[in-house]
Amino acid sequence: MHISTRKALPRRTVLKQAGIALGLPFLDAMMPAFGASTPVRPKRFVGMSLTLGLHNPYLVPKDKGTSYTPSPYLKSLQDIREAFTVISGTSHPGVKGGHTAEASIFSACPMGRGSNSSNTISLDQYMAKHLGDQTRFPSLVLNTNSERSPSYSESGAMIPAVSDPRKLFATLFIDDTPAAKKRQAEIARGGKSIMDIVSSETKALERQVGPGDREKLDEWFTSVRDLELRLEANEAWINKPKPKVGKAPSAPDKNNAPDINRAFLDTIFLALQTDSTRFITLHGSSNNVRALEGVDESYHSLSHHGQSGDKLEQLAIVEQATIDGWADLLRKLKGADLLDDTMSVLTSNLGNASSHDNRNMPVLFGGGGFKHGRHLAFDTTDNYPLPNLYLSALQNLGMEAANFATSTGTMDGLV
Amino acid sequence: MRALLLFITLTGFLPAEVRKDLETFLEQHCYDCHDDLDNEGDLNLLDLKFLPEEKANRELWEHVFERAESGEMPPKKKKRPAAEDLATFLKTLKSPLIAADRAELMEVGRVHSRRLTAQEYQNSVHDLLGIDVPLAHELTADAEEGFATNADNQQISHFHLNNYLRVADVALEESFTRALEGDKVFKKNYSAKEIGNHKRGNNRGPQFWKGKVISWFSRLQFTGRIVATSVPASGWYRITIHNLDAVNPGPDGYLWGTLQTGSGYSNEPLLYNMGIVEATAKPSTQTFEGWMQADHMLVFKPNEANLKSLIGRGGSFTFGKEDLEETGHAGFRFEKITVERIYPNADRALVRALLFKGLNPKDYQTGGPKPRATTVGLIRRFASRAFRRPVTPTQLAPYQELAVAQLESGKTFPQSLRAAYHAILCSPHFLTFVEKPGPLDDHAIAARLSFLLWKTLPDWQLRKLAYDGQLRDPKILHHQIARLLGHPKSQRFIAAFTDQWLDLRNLDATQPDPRRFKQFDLPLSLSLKKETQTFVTALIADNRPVTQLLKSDIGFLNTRLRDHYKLKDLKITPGGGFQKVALQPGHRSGLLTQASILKITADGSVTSPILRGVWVNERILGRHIPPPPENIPAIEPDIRGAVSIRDQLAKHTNSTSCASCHDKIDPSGFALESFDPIGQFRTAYGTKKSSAKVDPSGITPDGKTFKGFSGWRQIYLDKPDVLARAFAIQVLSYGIGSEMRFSDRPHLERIVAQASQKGHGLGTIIHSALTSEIFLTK
Repeated sequence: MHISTRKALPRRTVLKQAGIALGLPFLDAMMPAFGASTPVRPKRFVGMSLTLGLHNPYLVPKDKGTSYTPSPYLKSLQDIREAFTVISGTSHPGVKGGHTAEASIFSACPMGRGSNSSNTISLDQYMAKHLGDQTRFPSLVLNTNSERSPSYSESGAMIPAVSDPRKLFATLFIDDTPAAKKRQAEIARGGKSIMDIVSSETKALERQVGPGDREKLDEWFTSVRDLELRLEANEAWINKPKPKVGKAPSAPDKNNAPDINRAFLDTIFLALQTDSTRFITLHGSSNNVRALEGVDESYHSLSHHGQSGDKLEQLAIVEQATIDGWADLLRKLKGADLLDDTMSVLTSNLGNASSHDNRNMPVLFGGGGFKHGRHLAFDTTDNYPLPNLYLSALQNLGMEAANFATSTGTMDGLV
Repeated sequence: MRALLLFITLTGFLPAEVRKDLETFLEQHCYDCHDDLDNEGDLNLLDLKFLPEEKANRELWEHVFERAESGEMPPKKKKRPAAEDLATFLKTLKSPLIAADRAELMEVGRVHSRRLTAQEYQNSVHDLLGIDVPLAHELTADAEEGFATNADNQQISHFHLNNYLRVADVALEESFTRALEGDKVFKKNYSAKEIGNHKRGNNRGPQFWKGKVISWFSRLQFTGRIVATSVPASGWYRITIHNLDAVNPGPDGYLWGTLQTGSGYSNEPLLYNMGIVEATAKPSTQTFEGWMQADHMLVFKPNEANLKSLIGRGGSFTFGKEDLEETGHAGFRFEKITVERIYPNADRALVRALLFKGLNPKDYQTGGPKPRATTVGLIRRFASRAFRRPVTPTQLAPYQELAVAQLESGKTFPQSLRAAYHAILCSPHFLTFVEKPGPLDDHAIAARLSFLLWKTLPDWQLRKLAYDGQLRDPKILHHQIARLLGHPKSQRFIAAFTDQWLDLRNLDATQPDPRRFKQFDLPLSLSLKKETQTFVTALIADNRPVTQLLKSDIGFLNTRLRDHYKLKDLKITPGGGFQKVALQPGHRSGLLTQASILKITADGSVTSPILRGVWVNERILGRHIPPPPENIPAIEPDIRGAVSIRDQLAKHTNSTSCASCHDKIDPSGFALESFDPIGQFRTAYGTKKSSAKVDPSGITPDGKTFKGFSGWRQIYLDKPDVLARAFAIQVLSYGIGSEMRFSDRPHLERIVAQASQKGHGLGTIIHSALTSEIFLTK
């Protein structure tokens, strides 16, 4: 008899768990109840992942350190040179499988081909689990083309992504209808009245049982109270109006993958600016690039270039546009004085899409208050563990993490 | 002071007197090292008063008792006490300790607010609501070490409660939807042409060939995916593969493969195992059942390590006129596949009965002529089943008020009822074992029995006996134990118990090095757990002696396992899956030679006599091994085989403080060195001539020498009492949710004595254990 243990829930319940679930407000009154002291300027993380890699010879500068000569792709980013670091010679230890490694981009989990392969929690979900209760949405999981994502929950379940930029905008910035709000309030109230009953049951039970059980039941009672507070806070969000931001970003050209990225990245910026969420992943998986001038093949076909000069030329157009889009996010964040509070990584599971190699992953890392403006070059034949970057990110958020996945420490050379 | 008076009253012992009686022995054999000056092992017996009413003090004296009884103390280099003196000392100490421990037990009980495990929760909710959707993984995970049922390993937090709130809602949604709107019907037959007919995109599916369809083996991932079989909704499905035969089976006539489900594409890469499949030249129709997620499809193909792989171009296969059978490729050939949605737990009628009892379906929306009364009645029934005991009106009131308030505010009858059911499923009366200290009442006994042997709420038969107060009648209790054990649902007990007792849950914690252990493919690895579960099931069902855990004349193997163990002369019919075999002397037998156990106690690349030794001691011999001292470094394995691990561990035998534990750990560990990390027999640590030879010899803690595993095993085959006691303790600890205590000794001795009179049968041991005071007391 076989039971697979993933995604047993109907879609709407799963979406409740996804980054679209209700979180808690950052209310001063709540701070003592939740113990941990929150930094004055909360920090954020945006992970952008690509399915088809970035051509390393065009991305990675030939020299290293703070005085690196910009590579072809990085020439147009020199106005924000001090805002990001280009990292080479890293990958996730033990992660193989070419395209299959997509699932491990943010979890770094070396899932074997054994009978019980399962994924571990991804970086963004780990952050959301511990710090996500401060915003309306604990996290956002996005994909330009489908609902699959590299964001995985603690139980190893893939979080379905939002793939419609207009729906995303509506969820973030358009108030729910009165009927929808009524329904949400009912659910919250239902939970509260149940906890009310549980609370009195537990108290009554304490009187019935022996002294040994009383201590345990006391823990129950405390847990019920904790949950009641959280449910109350949830209810407060329902009636709180969503932030007003003006017009939605213009709809993207479906045949232009970098433009679809743009539509999402613009909305991501608004989400960060309004503190609607602090942990976001965007998976760039669209294959359509023909609308780009000079490109007449599919993205997948170009990425598997086999060293063909013509394909590489077209690939460069696509990849430059992609990197420029990510850089624009950094520029916007800088302009809004949010860059030092927001870390962003642009990476892919493929270091070489043409040969399906998962080593030497392309990594651009910006923001967060680090001292950027350098090329951190690790060993391309004996890769440095990329999870170390993830650990640095966690500590940058103020989390007391000693490791993440297969990290061996924080990232060398990243200050 | 009060505690002391209570102690004296309850037990009749005067602690000061007892302490005086112990003095002579302590002075002659203990004070030399354990006084205030030397204070060996941080134990100063000279100044230690006897205060059994105080827990910490009592536990110290229990420790003294155990060390003296086992002969560990005084240490070997000191003068041994005369047998009489030791016996008197132990007798003097034992009775007051037992009395004190028991007094505490009767006052506070040992199991504190034990909570349902995730499996117990899932099964209970399934039985209450008639549903079958997986729920266990949605809850906060149980403890990963020790028994999940152990109350001391269980925590509670708002995370847990929120999950209970959420998951109950999901369960109720499924149940009410089925009752009110109906079940989904889905049954489709996929013809060979539909399956093998590649339309567009990357083809990794089977080939349509001469009227049938063939799924060829290929190492490329997601080959064997059958796009047509993508299912519309998450649910349980029955898959029938019609007239399956093997193309180019191996020399022994069988071909193994896998039936998996998944998205079939690399952007959601996980595949879930539905079953391993054995095909031969003779066509057979095979059926599998499993949970599938919406939009997932079947991935079906031969899947053995030594097969020749079909190579596609650019990751896609274009089948042309080439006859792949002639070029020696292995394939599963079949005529069609049927995929049918099933509801294995209950049909719609039963779901309706569980939610609404006898209410006429046309009254479902309104609640009929008397909605309030109907609501109140249904809630009483549901709560009493969920709480597994009669529920008082005061207890019921808040649930009924909740439902009635909903009704009055304009909600429908089902919505109101559902709200009350939701609250009931979040109650500590449902989620925990409510037990008062002292002897358990019949309802609590029924619950413990049912959650142990069926991992769910007690059924109506058990409950009726509890209501009639009959469960303390030994004849009836034995009969119920036999009934529960003999039912297929007891497989849940076997699966959960062996997962934790034998640590089978960690079977996949490590992957064997694929270069050195190429043959450890999916059909083999997925056979391992089943072998052990089937074996243990048979030993219990046949009431075979506990010694058969170590050596038995029966085994359960399929063709892959037979070949893995190199038992060429054993007759296993290809295509017959798992078969019971009669083992001959010379054949490996018993748990310790099963690949599952041998793999769990290794790390994928190397074996560890320490890991194996600790496992054997803790789980089979009933001897607890404390963790190593903090400053001991780990051994660095040398898998080149030049320096054997025995050489590296020699230090343990040479140092007295290490020896005190390692004398117990190492012997069985070294005996098992004859088996490699995936359970194959070996005589050297590598294949080169220079590889170190395996030396499986040793000396047991009581001084018996052995040359290898059989010799070691024979020593313990002669100790059935030890094995019986160890097994009884495992079952009891798992079944009650707590560790054994000092005052359990007389009961354990009685269990072993009863078992001994009846050939130490495993079934007998279980029966004795579950009718003992240990199981029937809080």
